[in-house]
Amino acid sequence: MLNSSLQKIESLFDRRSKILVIISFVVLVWIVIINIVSSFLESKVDDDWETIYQEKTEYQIQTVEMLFNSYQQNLEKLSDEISWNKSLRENLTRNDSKKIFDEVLTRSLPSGYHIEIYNSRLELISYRGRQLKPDYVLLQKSLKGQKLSVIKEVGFYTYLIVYNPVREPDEGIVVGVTLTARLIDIQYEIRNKFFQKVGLTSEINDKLNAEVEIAPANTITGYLFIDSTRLAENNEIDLYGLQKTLIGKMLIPKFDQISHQRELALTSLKITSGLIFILSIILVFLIIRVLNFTESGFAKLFLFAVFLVLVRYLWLQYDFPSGTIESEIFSPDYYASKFGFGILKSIGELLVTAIFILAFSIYSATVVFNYYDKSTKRKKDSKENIFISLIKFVFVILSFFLLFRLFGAVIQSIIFDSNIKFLDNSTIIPSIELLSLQFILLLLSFSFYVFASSIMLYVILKSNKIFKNKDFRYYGSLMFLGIFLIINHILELFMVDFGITYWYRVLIIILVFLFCFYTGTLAIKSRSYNLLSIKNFSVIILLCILTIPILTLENITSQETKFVELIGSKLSENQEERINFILNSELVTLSENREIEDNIRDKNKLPRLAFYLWADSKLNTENFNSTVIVLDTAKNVVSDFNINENRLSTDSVLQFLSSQFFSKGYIVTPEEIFHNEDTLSTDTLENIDEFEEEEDLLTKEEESQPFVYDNIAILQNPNEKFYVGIAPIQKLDLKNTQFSRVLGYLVIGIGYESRNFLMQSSLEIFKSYTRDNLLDKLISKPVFTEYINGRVASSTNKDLAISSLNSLEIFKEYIKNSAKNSEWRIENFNNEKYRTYYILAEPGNDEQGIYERIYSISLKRDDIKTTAFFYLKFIIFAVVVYVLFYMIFGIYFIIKYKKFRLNFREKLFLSFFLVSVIPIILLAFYTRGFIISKNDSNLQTQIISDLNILSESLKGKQSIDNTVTDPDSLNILQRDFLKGSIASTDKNFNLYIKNQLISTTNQELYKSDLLDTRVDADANYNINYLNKDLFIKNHDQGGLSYLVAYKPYKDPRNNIVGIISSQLVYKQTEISEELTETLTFIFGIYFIVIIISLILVSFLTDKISKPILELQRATEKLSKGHSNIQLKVSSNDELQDLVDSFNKMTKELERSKRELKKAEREAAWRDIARRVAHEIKNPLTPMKLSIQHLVNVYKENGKSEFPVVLEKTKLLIINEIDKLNRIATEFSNFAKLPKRYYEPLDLNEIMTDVIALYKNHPNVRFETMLEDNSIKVSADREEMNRVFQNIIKNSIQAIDSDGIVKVSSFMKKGHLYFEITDNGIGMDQIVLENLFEPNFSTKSSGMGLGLAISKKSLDDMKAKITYESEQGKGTKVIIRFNILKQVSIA
Amino acid sequence: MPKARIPVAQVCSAEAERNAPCFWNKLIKTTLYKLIYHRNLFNLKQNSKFGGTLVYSRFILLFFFVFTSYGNLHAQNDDWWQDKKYKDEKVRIKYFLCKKSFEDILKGFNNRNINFINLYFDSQVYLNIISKDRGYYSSDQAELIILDFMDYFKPYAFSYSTSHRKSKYAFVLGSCNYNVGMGKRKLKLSVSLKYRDSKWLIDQVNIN
Repeated sequence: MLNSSLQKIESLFDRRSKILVIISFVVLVWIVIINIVSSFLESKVDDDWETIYQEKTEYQIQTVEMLFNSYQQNLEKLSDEISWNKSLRENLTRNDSKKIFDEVLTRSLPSGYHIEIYNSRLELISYRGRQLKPDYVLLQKSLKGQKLSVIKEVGFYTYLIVYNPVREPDEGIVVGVTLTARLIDIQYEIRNKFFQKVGLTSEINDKLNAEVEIAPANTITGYLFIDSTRLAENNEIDLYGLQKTLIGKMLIPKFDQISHQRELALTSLKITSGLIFILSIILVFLIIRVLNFTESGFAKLFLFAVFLVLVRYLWLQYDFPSGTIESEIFSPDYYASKFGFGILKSIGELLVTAIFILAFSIYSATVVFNYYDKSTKRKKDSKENIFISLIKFVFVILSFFLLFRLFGAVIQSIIFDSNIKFLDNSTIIPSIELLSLQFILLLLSFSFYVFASSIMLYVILKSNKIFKNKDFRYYGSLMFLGIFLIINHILELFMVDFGITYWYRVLIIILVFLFCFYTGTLAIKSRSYNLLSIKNFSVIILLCILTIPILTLENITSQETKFVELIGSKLSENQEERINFILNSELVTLSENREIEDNIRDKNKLPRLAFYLWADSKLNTENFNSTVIVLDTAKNVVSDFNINENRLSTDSVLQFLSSQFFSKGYIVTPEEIFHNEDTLSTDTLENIDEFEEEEDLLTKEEESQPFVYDNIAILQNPNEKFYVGIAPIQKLDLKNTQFSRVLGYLVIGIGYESRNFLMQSSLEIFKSYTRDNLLDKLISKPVFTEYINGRVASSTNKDLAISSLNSLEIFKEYIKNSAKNSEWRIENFNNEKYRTYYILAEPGNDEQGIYERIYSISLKRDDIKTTAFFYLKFIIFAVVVYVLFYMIFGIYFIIKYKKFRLNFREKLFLSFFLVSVIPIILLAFYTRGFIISKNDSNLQTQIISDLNILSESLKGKQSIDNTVTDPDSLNILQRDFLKGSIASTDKNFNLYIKNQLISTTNQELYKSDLLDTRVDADANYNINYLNKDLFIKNHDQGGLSYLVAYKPYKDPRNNIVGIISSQLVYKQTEISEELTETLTFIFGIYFIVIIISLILVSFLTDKISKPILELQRATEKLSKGHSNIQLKVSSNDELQDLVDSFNKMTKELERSKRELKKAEREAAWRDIARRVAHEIKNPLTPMKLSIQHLVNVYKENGKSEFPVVLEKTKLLIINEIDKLNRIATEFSNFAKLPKRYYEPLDLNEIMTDVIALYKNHPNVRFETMLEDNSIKVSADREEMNRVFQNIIKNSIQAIDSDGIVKVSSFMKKGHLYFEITDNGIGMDQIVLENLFEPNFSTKSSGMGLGLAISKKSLDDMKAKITYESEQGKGTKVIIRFNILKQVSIA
Repeated sequence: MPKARIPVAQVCSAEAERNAPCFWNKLIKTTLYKLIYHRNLFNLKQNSKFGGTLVYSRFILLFFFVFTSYGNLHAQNDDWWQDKKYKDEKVRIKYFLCKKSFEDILKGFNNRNINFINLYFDSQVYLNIISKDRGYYSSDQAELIILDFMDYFKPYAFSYSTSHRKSKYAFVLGSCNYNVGMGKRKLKLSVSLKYRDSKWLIDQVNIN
């Protein structure tokens, strides 16, 4: 025992451990070195800052110039290609615009490029992409043959444009101009909110990690306007055009020292954290080696857990992996919990924690199975104190429930503290965040099941020990299941919150129990103690698939209730104060926005100013139904933007403002807003404020009274339900000085009718890149309704609202008698159950004329479709993960064993699996394609029918004024033109005259400049040039793709006047959701079929391969010498015949073996009897003869000779008796095994002793070369002595004279070798073959048993002896001692 | 600039410079500091870590700075509030609490200490920070998001410019400067509180 422990400790310090320790030490040294170096570099920064700054700035300049030049060169190349194109030159000479269009449109062009082609009269002939609005001066310059490039801002977009003259093919006269442009930037706010990466600036941002800006020079004057603050903060880099003049500047933030030092520190931190990772991996290996010493499983698990916790917090402390890997999943805005002091502070950290938990669970499973293995092998269990056993038992059962608590808590935390839409039905492939969370859930529940089954197995094992009888074992296990269920019930009675409801817990306990029972039995049966075999792994994954969706869905539902109540309270809250806050803060911040000053001067940008302000404010981010208007000093609209014109229009806001504010004598000055008639100045307001009680300033009686604060005024319009605020726009630099001057007015209107929740769906395009999470946290789409005085005021589902009026009455009765003002109710509608949350927002008061306002939010209850959708989505995910794991595992297997070899069962499984799965996958892909194309064609049909309705209704109309006014500010009259036609539909239509948009139902799309007001080039070409009656195109805007259909608009004489179009831009989300749902349902079901087929295939392969595998195992046994094998396989096919004949064969074999044995034994007896007789006879004859001789001498020859003869005879007889004795000893030695005492021996020492015995031999010289090593072999001293003597003696005997015996020992590949070589007579082949046969000898004396006995001794030690010999030359004996396995012999 | 507006990290670095006159001394000190705190002085994360005793020592350090700067904060110009006289004692206390809440939040931002801010979190908090993190968050998540913002954007010199209060709602507007990437930027801050169950709770925090 002591020896083995010592050897264990020795084995701990083997070469591998030493290497690991050395590596970890090296890593530690590196960590210190890196920290010292980075500290050194950081402290050097102070001194060398100037040089560093210069270097960095130069690098910035070089990078920017290089990138800009490459952009410009590429563009120039493209421009030249187009301009020097022969056919274009010909067509332009002929002014054949159709051919030019054809050519421009068919040219392959990457996105972000735009083309315009002008003829010699500077008319636009052909185009592609957005309109570039070129300057005529530049066009004329180019027409004179000049090639030039400019940077130009068109709306929010900044382009690099190359003007290139096109010459006639022969004469070289300029016949036109091509404009080739590339988008290089989008204005900051718009770019960040509505577009993903775009253009040159984002490329530079990525490369230099700095927000750069482009300031274009005026395209005509070359004047460059940059304000002084920007200049102070930025480095400017000149950008030169093709004509070698300045065309703009790139502003790049000045590099500062703190950032540089921070960058250095971050780099060193990154490297350090990476090294910490390597260190901890090495430590894991070391700790597992160390843990193997402890016998106690509890101690092992405890120590491993402590180690993992330490490593986890070490990683956290050193920001690994969040510091090393830059990814969104480490940001807290998707998920973050304070639980565990930071180990769950983001999805990434949670993932790492989950992996740690998984590692621990797997380790615990191994420990438990080791225990299982040992306890089933050990017959007598070491007696344990009953008290300790009891404590262990209680501890284990408690930890089972603690596990439940933790698991539930983590699932709750994932749902409650995350900001992710779990039921994402917008796309079939979830976002990376949702994917990670799903993966984490899978990992956690996998660990949970492994843990839980380890605990359960331990309990079952213990129960098996209590119930020795096999029949009782089942009952024992069942009893413990009962105990678990009872404890669960008791805990439920004590109201312990598990985060998992009672029945789900019962289900999980039963599932775990069944799994354990199956695994435990399997383990005992097949003697494979591995919880994580591929089969068990699959079963656990199946359990996860079964339970994760239920648990998460349950939590989401309970969370949903909370959120509906939150939404309800938001709805019922007094909106006035909140809107006041928004209006106030936005008026203050927006009127101080520097962009206003820049834009208000720039006519090019002015139309979009209102949208810019809207996008930059909370009005956008909080999805208010709002309008932003910029007025000039004469109070005329210069720019406006309404997010939903139907609900809140510019006109109504302005009308209200002029009637209630300006016409009542209010005056807006830079300092303040005051009332001209001095009835209610700001002073009076302040006075009122002093006595402010709980009452609000704004009451219903004073509704038209504006609330004035400094230079902001806010008014409420209760009739149309909106607030409006006004603030002066001033020149910021002159603000609060005597020169301050008003540049215009900013007006913001915010509607509060039916609240903003009701209109969210129409805003999709404007929030496609932002995340609004309150509604995302609900699983199904809620129905919002507002009831005023018991009537439906507005609702997202009017039928449902009307049908729940009865319910509303009951709710009213309820609140009369209750202190609460809200209630959950369940109601039926269209045979579907709805859960509705009613909340009283404002109790009515008839005397004061206040209406009663109630809001309701309805959710579909027990929505089977939603549950199924959720389930199927998870199944798709889990199956994909499973298959991926399988593939990785397979690849690992191939790499590890360096060959691809499958056994029969696996081959059978694989072929079955492929046969069943491949058709399913093919079918799934076909269905997907089919559904998508069907969906597309449905949409096309729908959009075409919409367009037909529009064109029919337009036919009766007067032909509209076809002069295009300013396309940027859509004329009110023209805007209403389409509205009159299609008043009641929610379709989106546009009307283009002369390729310019003149009327649309969706102004916000064009006022925001997100879509171009020029008709799409493809549509223009197809309808105007190819005379097609219909053209459909899929457009792509900032990542959002939508379908648009175009149709010619004809006058009564059937001439094409313009183009009408309809787009599905708002419905795109609904469409994609519908498609995702259909695909999920189809794919999900296919995946379920895959799971079922997997189970079936596994079952079938087992059934088919079992008899064959058993046959194989039996044959293997047979080959090893077992003949008493009978297989029990029940099948009615050829296999049964095979098994029967096998059984018959083994029986026959057994019988003949028995007979053979008998015959052999008899022969041996006979042989031995003969030999013994012969051997005994040999000495007996001389003895008999001598005695006869002695008697004769005594009788005949007298007494004188007798003493001599007697002496001789005595010697002879003694000699012969000795011989007999020796014969007897040798026989007995061969027959019986002497008792052996094994101990660690130095064999070299024994060999030296043996050689010493023969050293004085006259004819033989010894040469010894024993390698000096301390390796010991466990052996019996006497026996080894005998073996060596035997071999050495044989060698000596083989030598006639002048012999040399060489003896050497050495280590090779973990074995100890002895070589004894002589130069004796050698042996022939026959001798070599029979060398170890007992009774075989070449010598006249001896029994031929020496070598046989030696061989037997060596065999017992698992050592190997071999002879190599050549007649006349000598013999070599090699003995190999197996030192590695030597330990186990003891 | 009043002392209160100097962020803790900068004070630390100034202190360290004063105490390390010799280059080698400084090198050893910063190396040791980094090995212990694994951060360079400019990159000190005040509260972003939760585990370990080291964090507590940071808390102690932080509270030391908070208390030394407490007096200065009070002496700070509070034009943004514009005190009014209220007749009713209850109303007076209510608005005093409101002011106190805003001051605490300001303290939290100025000292980059979330513990002053999370006192006023409801179970769900609306945040709108740099337009990226926008929406309702659980209080845990909101806390970590603000910490993350403080970590990355290194805000300093938060100040209020104007405020407004009503019976159940109050808000302040302000501005802040911060270092990010290679340069500096100015952000606008607005915080609104709602009065519920005799408490002022955060309704919205906007930093844009």
